[in-house]
Amino acid sequence: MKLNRRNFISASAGIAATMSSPIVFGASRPKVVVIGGGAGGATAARYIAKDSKGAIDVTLVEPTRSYYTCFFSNLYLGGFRDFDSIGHSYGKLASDFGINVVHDWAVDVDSSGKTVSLAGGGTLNYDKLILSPGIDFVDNSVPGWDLSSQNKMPHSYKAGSQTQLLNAQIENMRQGGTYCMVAPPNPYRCPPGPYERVSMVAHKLKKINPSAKILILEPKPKFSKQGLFEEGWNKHYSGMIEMIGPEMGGKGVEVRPASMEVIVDGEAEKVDVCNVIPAMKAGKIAELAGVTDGNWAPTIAHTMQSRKNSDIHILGDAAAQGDMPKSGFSANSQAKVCAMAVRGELTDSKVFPAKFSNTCWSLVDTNDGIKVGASYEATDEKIAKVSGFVSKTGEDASVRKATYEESLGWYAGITSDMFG
Amino acid sequence: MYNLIMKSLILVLSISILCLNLFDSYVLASEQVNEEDGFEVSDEILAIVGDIDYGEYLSSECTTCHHAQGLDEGIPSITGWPIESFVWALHSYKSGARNHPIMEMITQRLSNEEIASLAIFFESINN
Repeated sequence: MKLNRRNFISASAGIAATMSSPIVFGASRPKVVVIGGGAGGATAARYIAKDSKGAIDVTLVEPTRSYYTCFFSNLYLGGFRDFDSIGHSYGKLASDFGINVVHDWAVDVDSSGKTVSLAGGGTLNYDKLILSPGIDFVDNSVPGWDLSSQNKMPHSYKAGSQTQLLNAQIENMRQGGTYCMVAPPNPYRCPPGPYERVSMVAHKLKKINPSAKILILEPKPKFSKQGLFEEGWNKHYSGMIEMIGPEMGGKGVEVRPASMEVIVDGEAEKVDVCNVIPAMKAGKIAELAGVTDGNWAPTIAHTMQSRKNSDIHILGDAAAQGDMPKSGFSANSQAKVCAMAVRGELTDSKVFPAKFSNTCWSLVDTNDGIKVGASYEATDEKIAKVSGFVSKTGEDASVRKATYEESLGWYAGITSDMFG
Repeated sequence: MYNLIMKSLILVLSISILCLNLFDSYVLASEQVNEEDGFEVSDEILAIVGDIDYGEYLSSECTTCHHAQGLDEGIPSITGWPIESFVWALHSYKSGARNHPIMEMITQRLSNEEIASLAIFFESINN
C-alpha cells in the first residue's frame, strides 16, 4: 500500500490510540490473578483458563508447591489414607492449561493501581483479582495460644506439616493419656470437620491406645451432624469421648502450652495432646486488599464479586456469602460461578444464572460414612439455601458403606476438578 | 408408549454393549436403566434438543463428584452415555422413581431443557 495523505492520517491516529491505551496488541490479553490455590482458587484458575481458551492470561499465586487438602486430612489421622494421597501438585495447571503458577506469598494488594505485591519482590498487574485465601486465626481467641505454641498445641486446621505433627503426637501419646480438642466457635471452616476428627482419632486410639480418653471442649450449643456423630461415638467408641459444652465451661477455655494444661471453668486440667482450633477469619490478604467487613469478606452472590470492590472476587472460606457452609465443596462450587462471571466481563462470553451446591461427607468409623448437603441459589441479598438433606440416625450399614465409598469418588472428582 | 421406549432403549443399549463393551459407562448405564421398571419419560421430553454450551456450564456442578475423565470409583461415570439413557436416568431421580438424596436434590431444580443440555454435553465426552 502506498501512503497517501488520507491513510497516513488514519495510521497516525492508530498509533496515537495505541500509545494512549494499553489494551491493543495481542500481548495485552486481560489479566486475571488468583491468590490461593485451594478448592476455590485452583478451580477458578483452571475453569477460566480452560474455558477462555487462551483469551485470558491467568496467574495463580500459591506459596506451597505441594498442596495438601484439608478435606480427607482427618482420614489420614484415622489411618484410612496415606499422607501422599492428599497431596497434589500444580504441574498440570501449568502444562495443560497454560496457567502461570507462581509459588510465592501475596503480601499486599493495591486496588487502585490494580497490582499484587509478592513476598519475593515481584509485582503482578491484574484486570480481575480473585481472592481465595482460606482462613487465618483470630488473635487471642483461645487465651494462652498463639502461632508460637502451634508446635506444642497444633491446630492442624491447615493441612500439611500441622497434620503430620498432630498424627505423630497422637501415635506417641502415653497409654491411657488424654487427647483434648478445643473446638472452634462459629463460623469456621468445615462444620463437621472437628467431629470427624474426633471420630478418626478415636478410631486410631481404639487400636493403639484403647484406655486413652478424648476430651472435647465445645463452645457451641450444637454442631453439624451432632446426632449422627453422637450415635456413632456411642456405637463405636463407647466410654472414650467426653464433651464439655458451653454451659459447663467449654466456652472461654484458656490453655497453658508450657505445662500442657487447659483451664476449664477456672480449673486446670493436664492433657497429653491438645488440638487447639481457634476462632477463624478470612485469610489476611483479604483484609490487606480492603475487602473485609469484620472477620470476613462480603460478596455478591450472582458473581462472587466483593461488595467493596467490583474488580475483586472472593471465594470459599474467606467469603461472607450467605447460607453456604465454609467447605471445599462450597469453594469449588462458588469458583465456577465466579469463573463464568469473570469470563463474561472480560471476553463477553455467555453468562448463565448462578447455581451452587454443597455436600460434606464425614467418616465415623470403618465403612460408616454420613453426609449433609444442600443446593443454593443467588439472590440480591445472599447465597440462599433452596433445599437440603442429611443422613439419618439408625441407617442400614450398607447405606453407610455406600456413603463412605461415595466420598472416595467425590475426592477423586473434586481434586481432578481443581488440579486437572 | 412405555414398551416402545423400553424396546428402543434396550435396542440402543444392546448395540452399545455389543459394540462398546469396553466402555464401563455403557454397561453401567444399561444396569441402571433396567433398575426401575415402570418409569417412563414422555416423547416430548425425549424430543428436546439441548444446548451443548449450556450443558457444558451446567456440567461443572456434576464434575465436583462425577470424575470428568470417567473414573467410577464410588460414584458412577457419566461420560459418553447415550442421550436417551442420560435423560431417562436424571428424570427418574427428578420424579423420585429412583432414590438418592444428592441426585434427587440436584435434579429437582433442573428443567427439562437443562437435563437435555447436560445429556448432549456428556454424550460428547468420550474418555
